[in-house]
Amino acid sequence: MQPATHPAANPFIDAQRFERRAPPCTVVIFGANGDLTKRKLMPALYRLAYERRIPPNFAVLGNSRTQMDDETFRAKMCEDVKKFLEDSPFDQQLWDNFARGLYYLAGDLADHGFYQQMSAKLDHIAQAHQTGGNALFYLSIQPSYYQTVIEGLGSANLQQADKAWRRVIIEKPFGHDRDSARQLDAAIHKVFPEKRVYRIDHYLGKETVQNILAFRFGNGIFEPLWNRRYISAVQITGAESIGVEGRGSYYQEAGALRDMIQNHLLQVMATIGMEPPPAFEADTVRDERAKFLRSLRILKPEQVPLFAVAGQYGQAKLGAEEVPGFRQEPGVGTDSQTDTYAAVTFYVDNWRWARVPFYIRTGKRMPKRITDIAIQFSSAPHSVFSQSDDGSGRPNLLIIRIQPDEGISLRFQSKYPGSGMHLRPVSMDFNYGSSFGARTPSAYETLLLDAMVDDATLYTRQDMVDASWAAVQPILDDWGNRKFDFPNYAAGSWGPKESEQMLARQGHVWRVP
Amino acid sequence: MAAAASVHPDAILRDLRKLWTDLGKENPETGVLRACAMTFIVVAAEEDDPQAFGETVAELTHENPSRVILLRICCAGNKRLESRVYAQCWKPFGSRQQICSEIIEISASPEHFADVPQIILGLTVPDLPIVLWSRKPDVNVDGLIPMADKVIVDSTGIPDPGQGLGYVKQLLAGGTNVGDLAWTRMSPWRQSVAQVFEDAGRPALEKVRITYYRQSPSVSGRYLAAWFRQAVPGVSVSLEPAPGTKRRSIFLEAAGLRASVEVEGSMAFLTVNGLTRESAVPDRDVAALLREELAILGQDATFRKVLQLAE
Repeated sequence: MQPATHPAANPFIDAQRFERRAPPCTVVIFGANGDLTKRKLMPALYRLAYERRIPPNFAVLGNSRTQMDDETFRAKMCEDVKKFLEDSPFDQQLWDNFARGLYYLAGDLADHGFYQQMSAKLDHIAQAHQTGGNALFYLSIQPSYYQTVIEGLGSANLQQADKAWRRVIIEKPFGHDRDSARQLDAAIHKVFPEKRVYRIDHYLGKETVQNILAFRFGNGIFEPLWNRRYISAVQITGAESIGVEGRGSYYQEAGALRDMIQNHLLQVMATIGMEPPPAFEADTVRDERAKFLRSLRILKPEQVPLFAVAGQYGQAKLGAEEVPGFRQEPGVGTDSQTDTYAAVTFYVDNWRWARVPFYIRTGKRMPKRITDIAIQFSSAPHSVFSQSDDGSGRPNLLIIRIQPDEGISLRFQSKYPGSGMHLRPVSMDFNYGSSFGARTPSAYETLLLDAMVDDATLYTRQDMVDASWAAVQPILDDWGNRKFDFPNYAAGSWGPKESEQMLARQGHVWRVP
Repeated sequence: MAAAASVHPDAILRDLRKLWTDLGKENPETGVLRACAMTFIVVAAEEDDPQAFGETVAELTHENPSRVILLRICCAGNKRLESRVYAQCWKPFGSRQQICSEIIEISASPEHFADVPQIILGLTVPDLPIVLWSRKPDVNVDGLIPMADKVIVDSTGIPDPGQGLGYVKQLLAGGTNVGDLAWTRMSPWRQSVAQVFEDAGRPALEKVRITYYRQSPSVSGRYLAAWFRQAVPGVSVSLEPAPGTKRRSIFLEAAGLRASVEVEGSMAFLTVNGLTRESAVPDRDVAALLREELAILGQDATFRKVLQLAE
């Protein structure tokens, strides 16, 4: 007779008090010698161990081409974690314990024999650490290798195991355009079913992006206003003050539209615009996001110049510093046509958002680093105050700040003290850091743990990715066939004048974040 | 940052307004951010160290910005009732602006203690939760309990564990939403146990042995035993003395599973079928325990069930 087992739900979980914890498993990192591993993944795993969210039966298997043994890998990871760990102390004793579960296997990703070695090593780790054979494969490698690795895993039958789970995490970009994204999906699905594919978009793991859902669906007062009757426009800004920082050759192939809008900012926009899900569960939330993204109006070729603006920064003097233009960056061609700035007006063809423009902009070498969302409400329909500066024409704004200074502000009109009725805009602020002094987990901590516990709520699904590509593809096609007169904005500015003109045609202006 | 105040809610609130105006003037460029998410009533006994107590409250206000009403029992036989207001400010790393919570301190001799609830009722922040933390179970806070959305006590303050448990049960029976720090202390233990059973394929728990090294099992130990019983009905749970050791242990048995959670000093040892992971036990001072309780302002369903089963 089989011994009784606990039902799927752990009877000892106290959801009111306990943080999520990882089940026994091995995390296999392809690209373990790379930047993402040292800056984000390993510090996130260490931090999870620090918070005792990782069980004793846990291991990491790193891979790259570089030859090194387990001990060298452990020492390297130790140095990287010490260097890149944020908001946390480093505890050597804890690290030593954690590091006993770190392993390394060098290998050529194109060699199917390598995956047989990996299979044997995973078996060994499963025995030594009692992981039960559970494994999470993390593809932190160049996108051109995604298909190779997926096929390799399939060749050694690593995508499945008896009485154990196997999942794969894939970093963006998910394809270079819609066709290549579909080809990639087809290749992945030959090996892993969609349910076990986790496409990571770290923006969705940010606490403040998750807080948008809490703000919208945990409060009764905003949802009745959250539609075309009361909202006149939405502006989403994802600005970076830095340039391409040595990633010129990569960025030249990507550009701002692909690098930010197609994924991060459209996901943020979907979080703002989606319908309320019936429950906070992976499929219901993702169904609503996908529905929203499928509602995005697809631009006709002749509409693209009116609703999308490309920009590229030129050299400028910022303070005392001479800043190179994009074309002067290492690895970038002197006649590069790559967009380092992109602004798009999206429309959403559904009842809630009909005729409400969603303005999205992103750029490098902007005046400051900021990501925020401004919900612009309709102005008061009639001015009852006689003074010309009564301010009633100024719209109420709800600002959701994703980074930095995470929080929410509501701008409204107030009477200026004194005789007469003069109005002034004032801001009512909620600051995440002030109201909750607790440390917020990094996006990678959240997302890695979610994948380990099989919660895909904050991961993007194939249909979401496809709908995002569908929305930007006409713009990519148009821009690919045009010759821009770049550079068209100075480093340290808020972008090209054509972007202002795009909003002016709709009677709007970009806010200064 | 103190101001004298007469002990009437209107006067105290007036002093609070003046306090904030003064704080704004002291920081003309950035101002200060007044943060408040609840009313936190803290009852301190005369023997409580004011400095240590102040530090605990200050630490808590970082994550739980509040209007703190600090009620100090003092000076028996002196017929004293007085108050003062001050702000507890801190500056987040990298920020120029201070974030401040307000503290109203009321010192009352036992003769005036009956007057205090009426005063406090006029001082709570409208529309926000009210939490009462009573340090000592022997202080009578009956007049304050009805206004609180949650009452936090520490039953380990009563030397006899049986009486301690009875005290908390009595509060629950009276309809109070009660939290007991003796239960809060068990969270790391319970989390470790839950981790053992994180794998859905784990066999059902059959036997639990909890050891203790004092004369009789503490309230916390009794809570733990009850928790196992409510999580796995029918499981065999025993509380056993383990003289001569400072190691506290929980041993778990099921078909094909031998696990233990043990703590000695500052180290924890989680062992599953012979494989042990050591980890440092976080230093859970009273501020850490309160922080956990303040995160749950509604009913704690698990604790209610445990309290009913605990014996």
